[in-house]
Amino acid sequence: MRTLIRWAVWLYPASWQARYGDELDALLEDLEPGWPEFFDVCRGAIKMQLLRGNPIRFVATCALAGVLIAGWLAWRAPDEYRSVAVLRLPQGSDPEQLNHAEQAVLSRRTLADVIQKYGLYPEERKSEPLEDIVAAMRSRSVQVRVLEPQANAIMLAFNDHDPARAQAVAKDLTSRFTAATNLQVLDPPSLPSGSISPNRLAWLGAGLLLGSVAAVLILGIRRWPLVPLVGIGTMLLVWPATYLIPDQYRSSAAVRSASCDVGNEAFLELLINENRLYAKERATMPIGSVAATMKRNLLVKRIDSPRASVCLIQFEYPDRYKAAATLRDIVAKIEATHADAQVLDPASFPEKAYTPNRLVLVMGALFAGLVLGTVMLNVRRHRTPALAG
Amino acid sequence: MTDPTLLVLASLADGEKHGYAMMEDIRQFAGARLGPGTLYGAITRLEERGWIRPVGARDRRQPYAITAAGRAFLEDQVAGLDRIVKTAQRRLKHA
Repeated sequence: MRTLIRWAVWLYPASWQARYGDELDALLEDLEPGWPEFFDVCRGAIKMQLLRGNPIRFVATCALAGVLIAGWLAWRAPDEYRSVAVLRLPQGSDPEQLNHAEQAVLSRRTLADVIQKYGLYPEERKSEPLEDIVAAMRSRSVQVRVLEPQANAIMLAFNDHDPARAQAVAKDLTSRFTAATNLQVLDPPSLPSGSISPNRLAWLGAGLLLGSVAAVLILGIRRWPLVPLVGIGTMLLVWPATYLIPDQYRSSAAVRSASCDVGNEAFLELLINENRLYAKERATMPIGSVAATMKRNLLVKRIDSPRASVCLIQFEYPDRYKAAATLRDIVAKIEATHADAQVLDPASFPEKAYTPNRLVLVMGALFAGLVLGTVMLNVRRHRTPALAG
Repeated sequence: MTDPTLLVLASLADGEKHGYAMMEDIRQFAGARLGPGTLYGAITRLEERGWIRPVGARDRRQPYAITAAGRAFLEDQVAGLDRIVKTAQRRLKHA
């Protein structure tokens, strides 16, 4: 233990060691040191580094600690494997079949069936509804991508922590695709040879960055308390103020249609009246101006792909129920006015507010406060030179 | 009273001592066991403020002595603590 504590003494700043190192060593010879003495010396060394040590050395040590912790976490993180298959529609087939097959295979029913058949996501299933797990699987684990639009070739990939299970699920999804259409399998699902994630190098980089930032913050708190004090004060002022900003909810829908025209003013006015939108604005503004406000909150994006034209429609409103109900009316209008329209995604019910992003606002306030604190510290030092150094 | 700087000053008030002797003395009169890191943190601060000074060392065990400024500071602190103790005792008696 004595040897271990002598190593810990090396954590002290070099100038401190030169002055007190021998004395501390002599004290250790007189003691019967144990773990409490070891931790006490470590704590004393950290405090001394913060107050009198070389800041660059302190930041470098913390960065190294960040790398070691990130390395340990990255080493513990489970590997993810990807099995990939390539499918193709035979010449002369209707490309629309790909859309139908994709919708059928990625439907909630099919994916829920696959999850249960292969016992996927056991931990998540204990605490989350199946609906959420299916949504997460669709967005993270399953990939269907058009490789060559002209050749009607698609890539189907599935990611899992177990390479054999990744291949088995990819095979299952491939067979469901081929059963739903006359797709041909060009490349059967592969058995993954290497993992695709985690990116351990990126984790180490993040550890290095976080360790350095933490060191700068700790140094700042110990040496220049005014800076973090102003930063945290600003953050605490802004945080409750963010609740004065009304929440905005966003409902989204996707419709396959040749036309995405929903901005007709008369129709918007009808929606405003029927759904009782913008009550405050209606009391003070003419209905035409209210419709213009609504138009700003109605985002319509048209995506033209070789396979189809899709309209992505989003509506933002402070009331989540009215946001979803209004968008449902808009989608119904498109369906009623365009014979070719097909609803791909009905109007979603927004669970969480889209804006304001309170975390971003509070972090921005913290940053602004830190800058303000630095300016104040420099002004104070300039006015009272005795404070310098 | 658990402030290590006050404990070290109180220990040195009756004469010079080296690190281990201070630790033992503090353990006996205050019942507090200062770790080596805490003790030398306090010694560093006190020496920087000029409240203690190193005196001739016989070997690597460096003794320290309290300075006049250190004694004045300790007297001031003890007077403050004395007032608190006496007030508390008086109030406890009348409670």
